[in-house]
Amino acid sequence: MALDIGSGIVALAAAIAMAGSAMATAWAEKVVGAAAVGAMAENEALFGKGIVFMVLPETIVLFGFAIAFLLLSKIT
Amino acid sequence: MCRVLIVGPHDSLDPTVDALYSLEVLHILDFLEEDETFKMGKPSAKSASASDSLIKLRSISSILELDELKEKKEVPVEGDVGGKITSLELQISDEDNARKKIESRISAIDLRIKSLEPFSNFPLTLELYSGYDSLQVFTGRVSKGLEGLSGVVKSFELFGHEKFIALFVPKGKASNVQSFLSDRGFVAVDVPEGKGLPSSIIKKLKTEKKGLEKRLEKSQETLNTLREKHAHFLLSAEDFLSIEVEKAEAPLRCCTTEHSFALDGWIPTERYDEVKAGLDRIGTLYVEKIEEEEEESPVLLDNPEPVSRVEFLIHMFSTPDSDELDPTPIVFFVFPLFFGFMIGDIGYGVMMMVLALALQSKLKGMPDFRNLMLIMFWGGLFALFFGLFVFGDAFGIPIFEHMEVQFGFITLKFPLFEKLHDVVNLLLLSIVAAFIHLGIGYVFGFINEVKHNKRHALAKVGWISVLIGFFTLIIVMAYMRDYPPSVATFFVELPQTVGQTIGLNIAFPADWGLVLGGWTISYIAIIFLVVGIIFLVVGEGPLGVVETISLLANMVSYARLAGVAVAKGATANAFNSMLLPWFLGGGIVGLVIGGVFLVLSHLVVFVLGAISSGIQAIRLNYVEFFLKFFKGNGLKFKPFGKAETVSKEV
Repeated sequence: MALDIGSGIVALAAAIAMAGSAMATAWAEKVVGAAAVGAMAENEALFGKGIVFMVLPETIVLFGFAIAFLLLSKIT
Repeated sequence: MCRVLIVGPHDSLDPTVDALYSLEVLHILDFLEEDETFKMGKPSAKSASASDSLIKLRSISSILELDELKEKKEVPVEGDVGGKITSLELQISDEDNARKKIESRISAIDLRIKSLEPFSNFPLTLELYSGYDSLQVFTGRVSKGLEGLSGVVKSFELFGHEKFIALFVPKGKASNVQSFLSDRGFVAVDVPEGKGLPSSIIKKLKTEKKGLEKRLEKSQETLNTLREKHAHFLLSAEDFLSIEVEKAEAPLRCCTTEHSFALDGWIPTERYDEVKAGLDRIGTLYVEKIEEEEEESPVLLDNPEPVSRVEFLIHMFSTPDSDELDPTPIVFFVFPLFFGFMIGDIGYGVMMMVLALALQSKLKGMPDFRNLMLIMFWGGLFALFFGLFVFGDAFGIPIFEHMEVQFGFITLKFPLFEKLHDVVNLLLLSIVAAFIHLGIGYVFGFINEVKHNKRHALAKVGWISVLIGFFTLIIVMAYMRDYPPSVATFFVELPQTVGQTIGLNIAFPADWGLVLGGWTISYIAIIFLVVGIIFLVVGEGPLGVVETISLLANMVSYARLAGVAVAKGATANAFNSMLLPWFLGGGIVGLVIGGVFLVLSHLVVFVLGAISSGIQAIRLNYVEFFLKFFKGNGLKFKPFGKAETVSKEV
């Protein structure tokens, strides 16, 4: 399909939203995950709390995902 | 749960412990506050000998490597178990010591051979390397050739010339030769102690080693015979002794006076009569229920099969407090539902079910893992369901295109949603899932709080209102677009449809709202939001207003359901469009190679999909759902003992 330049820019914007939020999530989870595993090594009962904190940053990538889709819906 | 106190004279303690052990029903509260009259009990006399035998037995087991034994057969453990174990221990540890001695001798021989080997090429006995007044001997490795040595020292004798050398020079020239050698990368190697020609010493050692290896084999054989003969007895005896030790140590947990003892603990109320009957048979006991607030009681999650098999997921997060609602039934249903939605494919669903069934029969000894397999099976079933009726996909291949089926007066178009084209609908479905799941969470929260704190309960009502507000807001915004997604249409027109069937003319006023940049902000949503926020401010203070945004974040968080589903569908689709033409149009070669690649690529999608769907599904329960009502930190009910029906299949 042929896209005009405007659509191309929107697609790029969607890609940036996705990539940026994914990197932010990865970085945040790296920090939290390392700490959570450390805490679990001390006390296994912390698994529940650990996993909660560990996955909190995932929401960031979902924001990116939602924005990317809203943007893409502008093209088609 | 009810709290019981069991009091009796010392000589009834043993039968009481036996009875309680086989009932597996009492969660003992350890007695900790000793004073002059009330003391902690002493372990019974047989405890010492039993634990002594147990230690011996475990050392034997580790020598015989019993934990590698695959099958386990119960054999009766009778008679003088301690005596049998002691004599076995003597036999086995003698044999083991002999074996260890041989092993250490063999490794010493290996070391000696290694040190002699470099010297074995020279025709010199070991004595000849030392004991000179006028000669200095250099032995060791060099990395370069020794050309030019005759320039440094005139008279010398050199054995070997590359790599390993033995060099004899006059003492006077020793320091010159030393520096010459170190330029050529010389590393000194000490001459091993001893006498005689190295090559003949090595020969002798090798013969000795052969003999030792034969003896080692024999000793291993003896151990193997012992293992075969006694393995089952030892395993059964270990179980038996562990029980004995646990029973014998029970008095440590109860309170005793000079002539009597008292045991304090919790039992499930419905089993009280059974326990009382069991203990009354002993005769001299006094058993009484103590009136106590249930708040401090340990928690036994009580769900029917198969729901109870999911309890481990709850305990992994935290054990609910005694007055909290048990979320197991919801998780039991929602986890496989989400899991199945994310996979949503007939092929992968069937694979998952087959795999779960196969693994379940293999893993008899690991109850938690088997429970996980059960959930996987349910998840596979839901995936099959979604694949068949919603997405119409098998391994990413659409199985029916634009089929219309007439159900009474409703016409359904299959597939209901195409994974790769109806993303907006899938996102809206995720929001619907969020609405229902979080709604249940807040209702649970309301029920939990209403017993404690009316204001917090009020706040939960506020949250429910805010949730409805956000849901209405999103659905109406989607519905008022030029091409409304079918999910939004369904929900907006739901009141009308329901109204028609019961003969009322009602419709949801979707267009009643504020139009902002092409989006319609429904006034109804705003009313729900405002009412909810007022409740929140009353219930939780002004900070509650800020928190409403986190609820919106929670709802968006469910978009992972759509995200994983689409990503999985897209990956499978990509592999198919690359490999299917090859597979179908490439003759025999294409059929084989394309087939292999196709299987491998789908395996990758399957494994990655199963892992990510599993994690995301449990996360939605742990984070979004549990945090709406679940405080946890309960004490898990751990009954003393083991019921006689130990081998009941889990």
